[in-house]
Amino acid sequence: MILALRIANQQLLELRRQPAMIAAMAAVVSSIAGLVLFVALTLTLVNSQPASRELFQANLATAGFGLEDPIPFVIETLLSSFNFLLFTQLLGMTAVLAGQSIVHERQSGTLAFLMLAPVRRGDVLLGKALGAAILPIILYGLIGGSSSLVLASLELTEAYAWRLPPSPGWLIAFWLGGPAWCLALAAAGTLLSIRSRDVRTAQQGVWLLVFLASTTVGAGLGGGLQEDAGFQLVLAGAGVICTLGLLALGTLLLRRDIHL
Amino acid sequence: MAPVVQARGLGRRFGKRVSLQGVDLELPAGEVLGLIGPNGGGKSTLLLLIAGLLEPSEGEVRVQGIPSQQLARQAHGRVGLITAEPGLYPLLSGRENLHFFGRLHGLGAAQVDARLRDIVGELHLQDALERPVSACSSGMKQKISLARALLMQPALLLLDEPTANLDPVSARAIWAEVRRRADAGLAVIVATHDLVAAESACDRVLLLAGRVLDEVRFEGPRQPPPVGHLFGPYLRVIGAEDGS
Repeated sequence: MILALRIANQQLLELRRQPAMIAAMAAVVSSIAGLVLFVALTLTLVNSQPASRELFQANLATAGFGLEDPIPFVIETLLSSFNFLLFTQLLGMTAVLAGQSIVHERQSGTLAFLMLAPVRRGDVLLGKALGAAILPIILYGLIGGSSSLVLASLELTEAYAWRLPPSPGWLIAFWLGGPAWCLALAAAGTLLSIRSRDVRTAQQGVWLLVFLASTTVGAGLGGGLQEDAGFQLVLAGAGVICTLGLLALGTLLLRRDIHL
Repeated sequence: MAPVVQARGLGRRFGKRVSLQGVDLELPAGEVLGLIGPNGGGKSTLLLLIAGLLEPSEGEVRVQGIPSQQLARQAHGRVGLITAEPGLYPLLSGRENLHFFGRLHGLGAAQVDARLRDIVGELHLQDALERPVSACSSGMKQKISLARALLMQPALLLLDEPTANLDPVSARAIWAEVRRRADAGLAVIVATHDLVAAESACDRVLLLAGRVLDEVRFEGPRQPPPVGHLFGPYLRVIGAEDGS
């Protein structure tokens, strides 16, 4: 385990030397959070003044959305989109980083030296998966978590408290389900990376992985907030099991024979 | 004294292509064995088989009595490897690379620093150690790679074209260090296309082309490759008369 952490730390050190990449990742999460907060705050302002509220309702009716009370509908759509985007971007960023991990070792010529070291293959994989997952989880925790708290403090979102902190469903989804599936995606990306001979192959595989994860797990974590906390607990548990299974599979695929 | 390397009927196929077959080999401590032969002749394959980084298709190889496939688990750095590509993380500094690999081999941070103090001086690596590897010259990268191998105090050093793409000063420094270590008891196997260097610095040379075609043993004291008449003016041009 200590060796896995050393490998993860080495990967983080390399990531820290690429501030442009970290900035791009932070920009994705910040853009989502910024846009959602902007819309939510604007709606709060609109809702606080009857004239503005009526004008907003009239404009929506003109645009074809003839709802009796449109603001709750917009808020609910906004919150479900926010959670969905937050979770899918977390999974996507992790998969991209993990999908390059072993390919990067091959291309740098360092894989041979990793395999020469007295490190178990499971530790190499766990280290690579952790190294890919930590930075996205930190960005998601800081930016996604703080913006969720701001959203929860708005009067307009009171009716949707189950979608936001500190509801048990949200807490489990955000702090257990998200990181658990993030690790699962990291393990899956690392697995893809083992089987890829060059970056382009890895990228295409990652693309498929992100699509599958977004439409299933991303939707489950974001949309599943309608379910009770038990559903989110089961989903988080499935993420842990999936991570362990993929790491176990990876130890079979990653051989000390660097040609295989 | 038991040989450091023992191979019996060693061979490797890649799919249907036979890269190497029927290699019998014994290498005692303190000997430099050169591998020469055409590209694709099996030199790199033999080195990787000995390091345990390729599985033999036939035969077996042991290092200090340990089957090569178990080296990583049991030998803990007893085999040092240098490849033509230095195999370093380009965004990390030389020191960070050496610390990372040293720690993976179970050395403590203080132990790595203590061992590095000697190695860095011997290889004239002081300037390169704090720079990102990507900003180092090819010669410096290869010296850092050599430092990584020596850091584990190996019993066997495997070098795969270690001086390819290096300038004459860096190449000579690598050969000199290898020869010096061998004279101190290290077993060395070096694959090279530099026939002059092989003849000068190696105790024995195998000619490989899919199998061992010939073996030549050299007598007399071995030394780094001769420098030739242009070496002095070359040093003056680059301003490194002391060879550093």
